[in-house]
Amino acid sequence: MMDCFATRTLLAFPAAELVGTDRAALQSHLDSCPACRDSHDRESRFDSKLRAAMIAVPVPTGLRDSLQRNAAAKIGAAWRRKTATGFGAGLAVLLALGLTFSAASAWLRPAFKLEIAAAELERERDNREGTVLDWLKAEGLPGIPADFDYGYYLEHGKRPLLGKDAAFVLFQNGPDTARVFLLRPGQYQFPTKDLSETIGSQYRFETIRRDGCVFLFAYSGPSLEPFLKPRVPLQ
Amino acid sequence: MAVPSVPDLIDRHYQSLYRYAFRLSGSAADAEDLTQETFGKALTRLAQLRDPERAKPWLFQILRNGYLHRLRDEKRRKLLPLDTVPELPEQTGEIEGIDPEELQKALNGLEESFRTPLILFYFEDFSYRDIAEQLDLPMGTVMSRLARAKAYLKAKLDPNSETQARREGE
Repeated sequence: MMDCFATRTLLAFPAAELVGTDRAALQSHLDSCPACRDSHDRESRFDSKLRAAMIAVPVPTGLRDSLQRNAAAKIGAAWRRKTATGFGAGLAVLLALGLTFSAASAWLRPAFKLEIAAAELERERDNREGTVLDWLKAEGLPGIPADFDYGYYLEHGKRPLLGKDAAFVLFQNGPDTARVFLLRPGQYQFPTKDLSETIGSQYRFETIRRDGCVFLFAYSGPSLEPFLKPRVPLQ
Repeated sequence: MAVPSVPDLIDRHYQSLYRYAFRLSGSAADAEDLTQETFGKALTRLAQLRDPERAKPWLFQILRNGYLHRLRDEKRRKLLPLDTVPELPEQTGEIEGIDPEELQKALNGLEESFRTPLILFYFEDFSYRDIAEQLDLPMGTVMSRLARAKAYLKAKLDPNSETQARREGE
């Protein structure tokens, strides 16, 4: 029986290509869990909207004719050169090999495996944390004094904050986001009202001063807890 | 199945290739150049098309290689774009829900290694397996990149949808 955690993990993958028992287990959970079903429906709606927007690129009129003209010119030039006489035979051999290879690779292709994806996500999570730490170091900034789960990492960089560029790291967990700004002492003197206007009134703010840096945490949701690594209880 | 001719390939795939090139590069001029370049290369490499039924992913792969080549050249020459706002084609109307212009801006902000699988998946309905083969990546990597890229786009394009949906459900 699939639980909510496994279902949400699966729904993070765009239109996961499930087969057989996995598909049945997912459907069975969705039938019995309204929250996961809502999540599934929202993901499906977003997928449809994204697909529609993605293909909304008008193709220039005349492109086809221009491509055909260029191709015809090149084919004509190549024909005049009359390359190797064994071309036809070589092509047939390549084609036969290609068909054999295609049939063999179709037979050997791996099936969708949730565990492969989970392991890969774990590896990427470590890589992301390393990338952010390297970047902070290169910027002469210390590491963030909170144990963020980099599974929720979205992006890092600099963005204007009250008229100055400030380094930030952004995390997202479901509908909530947490942005950590790393500010040098004396760089800002900001009342909370200004921050609400600049970053958004839906955010809560916390500051920590450590390692010669002011860390400003701006997050939606009740606390930072959902963005942190789970704590392992002492045995 | 017989190996198709390049004129046949043009007729069948030029629109998909142009759109793919546009979403990759964010520029109509670059998209046109890349499409021309792709069919030019296809012409000289047609013998490498081992499975005629795989002509479409083969062409997409050639186009992406051309795009990556351009990216490398641009970095080497340290060219800076005159206008950082991405060029958009004419007559791009807003799709209900997601504005294609905003989508392009968000795509431009994604690293190529995340952008390409996302475009292939949503735009051309390639399967995870197709994308993995085309990009020469393990399927797990493709899946995790897709998941991350989708989360990024959701945050950029639809930041309030979940909260709103939750409120509506209450």
